[in-house]
Amino acid sequence: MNLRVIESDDIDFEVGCHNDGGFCADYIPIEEQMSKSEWMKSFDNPTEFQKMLGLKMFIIQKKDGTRIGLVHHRTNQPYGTMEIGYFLLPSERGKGYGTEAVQLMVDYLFLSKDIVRIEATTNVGNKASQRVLEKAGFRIEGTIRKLTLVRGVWTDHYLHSILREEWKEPKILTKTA
Amino acid sequence: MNLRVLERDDIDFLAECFNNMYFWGEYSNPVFEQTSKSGLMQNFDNPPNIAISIEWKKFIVQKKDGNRMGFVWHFINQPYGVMEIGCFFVPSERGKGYGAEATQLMVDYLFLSKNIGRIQACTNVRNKTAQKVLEKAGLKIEGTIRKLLFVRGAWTDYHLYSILREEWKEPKILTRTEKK
Repeated sequence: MNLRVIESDDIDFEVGCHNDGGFCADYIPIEEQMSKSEWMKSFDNPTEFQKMLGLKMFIIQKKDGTRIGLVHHRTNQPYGTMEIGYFLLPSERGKGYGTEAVQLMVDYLFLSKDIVRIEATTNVGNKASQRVLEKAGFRIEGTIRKLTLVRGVWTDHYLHSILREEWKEPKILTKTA
Repeated sequence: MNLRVLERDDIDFLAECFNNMYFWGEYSNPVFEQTSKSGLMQNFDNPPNIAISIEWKKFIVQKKDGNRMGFVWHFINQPYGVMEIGCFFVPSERGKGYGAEATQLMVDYLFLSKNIGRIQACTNVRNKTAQKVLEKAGLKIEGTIRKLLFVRGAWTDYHLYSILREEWKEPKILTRTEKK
């Protein structure tokens, strides 16, 4: 498994995840539906909103190059906290890729940026996602009530975080690859 | 006590408060960079992108005689779009109950005028006074955000508070028939 930053020829895959995965997701909000050309436009010219959040998207791919999901990081405003999120194709879930991708992203962020915490939120019903974060060393800090509209209902989310001192050292991005 | 939106002639007061490092006490830092009056004036006329994105709106808390005691503000946490409030009082006006009243008034105003389901606020875990203010206004603690802000030289934990529309139920101060 590997992470790499998204390229313009990954847009078809990304659009597929958003426009296809979104409708049948149990735990995440259905995002605004956008055509491929709209995606391409915002890839070339990020909106002020995207720039403010510094949203950076990565592709999760297998060793053979097959794309299986997405991971992103962004900076929430106005507190400037670093948050990550992830998505795997339904057929690739439950195989440990999520945990590996999160761990890799956490290593990358703590190694390259002067930050003290990384956070993530999960729908309280999404046990699989909570297990991923737990395995990657995150802890639950609290429950944000009615955070997002999921399947027509305002839904509670857990706030998870990992502090630099809990991470201690890279697990995957060690010096000797 | 009354709330009114911040006007251009309040910038002097804003500068006095924001640029007086002693005013911020032991629980918070100046929220933003120290900025000259002319810089604050420019920000007022042409808000920076970040202030526009979080829809930051400041209000003056004033006494009946018009004396300014502090600020209350609301902004949107992005990207989740969650409404958050905060307040600040000059030291001489703290501990007199104005904070609770101003918070209650702001909660009434926001739930009455905006289609939102929750209002949140963050307090330094050591700031018991602010926590009492929020609890009086009906906010409940949801958790503790570790190392949220760098305050007085150290990364500091904050409690996350919120009130849901169904907990608020109805206005406490902004009732239809004004109480004299």
